[in-house]
Amino acid sequence: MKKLFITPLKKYSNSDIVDAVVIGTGAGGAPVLARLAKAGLKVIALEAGKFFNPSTEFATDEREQEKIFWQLERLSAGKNPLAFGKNNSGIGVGGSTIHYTAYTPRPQPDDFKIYSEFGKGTNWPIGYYDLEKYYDELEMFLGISGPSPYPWGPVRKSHYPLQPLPLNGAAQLMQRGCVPFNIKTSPAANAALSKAYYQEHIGWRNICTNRGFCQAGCSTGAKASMDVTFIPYAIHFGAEVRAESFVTGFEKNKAGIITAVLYQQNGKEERQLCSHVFLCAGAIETPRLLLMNNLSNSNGMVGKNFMAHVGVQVWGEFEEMVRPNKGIPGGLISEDMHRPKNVDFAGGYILQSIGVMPVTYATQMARSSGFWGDALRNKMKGFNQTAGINMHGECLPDKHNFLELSSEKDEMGLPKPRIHFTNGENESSMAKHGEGIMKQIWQAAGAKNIIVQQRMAHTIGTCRMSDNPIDGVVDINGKSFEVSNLYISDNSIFPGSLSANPALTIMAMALRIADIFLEK
Amino acid sequence: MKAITLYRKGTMIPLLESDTITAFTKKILIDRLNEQQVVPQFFSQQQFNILTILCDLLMAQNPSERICNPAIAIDKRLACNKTDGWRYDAMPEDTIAYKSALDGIEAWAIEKYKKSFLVLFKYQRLHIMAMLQSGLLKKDIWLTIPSNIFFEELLAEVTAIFYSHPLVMEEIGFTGMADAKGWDNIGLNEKDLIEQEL
Repeated sequence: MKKLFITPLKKYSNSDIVDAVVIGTGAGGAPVLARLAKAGLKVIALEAGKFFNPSTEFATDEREQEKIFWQLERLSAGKNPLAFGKNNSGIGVGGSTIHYTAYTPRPQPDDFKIYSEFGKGTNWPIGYYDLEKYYDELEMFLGISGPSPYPWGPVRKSHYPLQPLPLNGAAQLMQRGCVPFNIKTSPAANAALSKAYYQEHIGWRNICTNRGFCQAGCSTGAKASMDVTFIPYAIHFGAEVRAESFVTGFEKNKAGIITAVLYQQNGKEERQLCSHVFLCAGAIETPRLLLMNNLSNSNGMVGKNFMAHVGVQVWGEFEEMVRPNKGIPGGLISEDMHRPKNVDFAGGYILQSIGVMPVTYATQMARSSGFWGDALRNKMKGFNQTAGINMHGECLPDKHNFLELSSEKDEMGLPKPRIHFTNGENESSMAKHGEGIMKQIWQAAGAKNIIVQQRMAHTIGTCRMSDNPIDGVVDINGKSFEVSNLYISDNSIFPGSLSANPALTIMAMALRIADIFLEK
Repeated sequence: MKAITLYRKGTMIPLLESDTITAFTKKILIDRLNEQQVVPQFFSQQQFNILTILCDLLMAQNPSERICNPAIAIDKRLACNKTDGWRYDAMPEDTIAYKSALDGIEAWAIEKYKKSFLVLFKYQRLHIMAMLQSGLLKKDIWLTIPSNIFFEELLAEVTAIFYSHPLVMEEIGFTGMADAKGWDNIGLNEKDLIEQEL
């Protein structure tokens, strides 16, 4: 059995003025932590959740694994209220990458310029080519398994380091269903290993064993979550990772500079002195923390422009045995709908095959279709013959979609966030288009008893990156417009949603923010 | 389409005792299998009994052959005031919603049938549940708790607990927990050794 290296964890004192405190250890925080530590800075990560040992503490059981989801209550409002918790919000060292599906497609260059192309949405103040070298680096560092050359987007400077993962039943069905419509498909890029992989200062990570429980946490280390990649790398270079440390506030000096981060650990209030803060807690907790502390919000932009990807799923039952719990859930991809012709919406979407775990499937089926009693029991007896196809599409920022603090308190005694979300015409139109295409594909693949589930995926926006202090929270380098030693690095700073799954871009942005910080 | 049930009744227990399951997963599932009925900590006995009936009907369980009672886990969760990370803004907190809704169901049974929900005929209970799901009830407690949303939340929680039970997994032919050695054959109609043996 190959092993990760284990470096003793460095310990700083609360009275040490460390160079930076990184709040959150997910895709936004862990790469920053690693970069800064490697540069020789004194850095501490504060993580609200536990530092799990996946090989002994992760079960192949969805209910047990609820511990990797953010369970403090959020209030979901609007005409299309979003599910949080296990739908999109993680906790623990590694953040939401502990439960991410490991889909790592790159966005395409025009995703960053959607306003220029359609007159809708918002252009990003940076572009694909600002991030390209980080995508190259990340794919190598994480050990992405994927096809080379990649069939869509610009010619790449590097190849994926590993061959694609094997196709599971859902992927084979999508392949079959796309053929009659001349929709091009390809094995997807996934951050799980198709071969054992060695990384300097980390050690060996094992080949994926096709458990298929990626969304409930990988117990083998094959999936490139942050806890088995950037975090051990950061620890090797002297970073301290302080788990079960829930940040609640900041201390500032008269000039408005943050001098300490306040957090709760083991029921005690603690205070860590620091020179800089990197807030990387995600598109809900980052704005909540800023709003609670009245920080970096004099233009009222914190919490605004919340977005979630259009994520309609189509499920069907097949003659063949699928066993949808086996293999990487998202094995096959098509980006042929990146800019579909003759449509009435801006942007586009990705098509992805989806496997599923039984409790997730049963619960989704009950919620969205209202099945219960014998209807549900009979439906679930077809589980092993079930497969899904999913769209992942652009969501435009909208002033009606935002996060605010409610007057209710959670179990930490802090105000619960209320998130308002309603699909705009663009999202509704895109969802309808995708649903039609996916139904056709699934019928062609042989699906019976097709069921459509309307849903939105991921949490994005709320602390927009902008080149204009009037409409943003951070500048193009992730630095707060108002607090000169505060940086934000997570999905909250995305000005637009892009159509690609966000994790890879969150990491690329994080590395860029860290590098520019170090240059200065 | 005819659904295929892969496994004969009684095959899950030997699977759980085999070395195809990691020690931690095995412990979780065996503990769940051995879950005992307890005195409710959060609900009153009457509320708990109503919830138990709702769970049985939602999962089409015959009380005399009940595989698991999700009401036990719901009571345990609410006694600790735990949430699953979100709720609809239109709903009150779970602790309030559950108790109010269960009392509301009882009040409704008495108003409509002049009897407690606990002694109604099955068709009468099913009628009340269908009305709950429809959201058409718009008086009394149901003015502050949209009945269709309560029904959706209840159904989702009960479903998640029910389909986490090993013997329910047996019913749907799910053996994904037996992955200590991983899976080699993941394509259409492909079976791993463990699946062929069963």
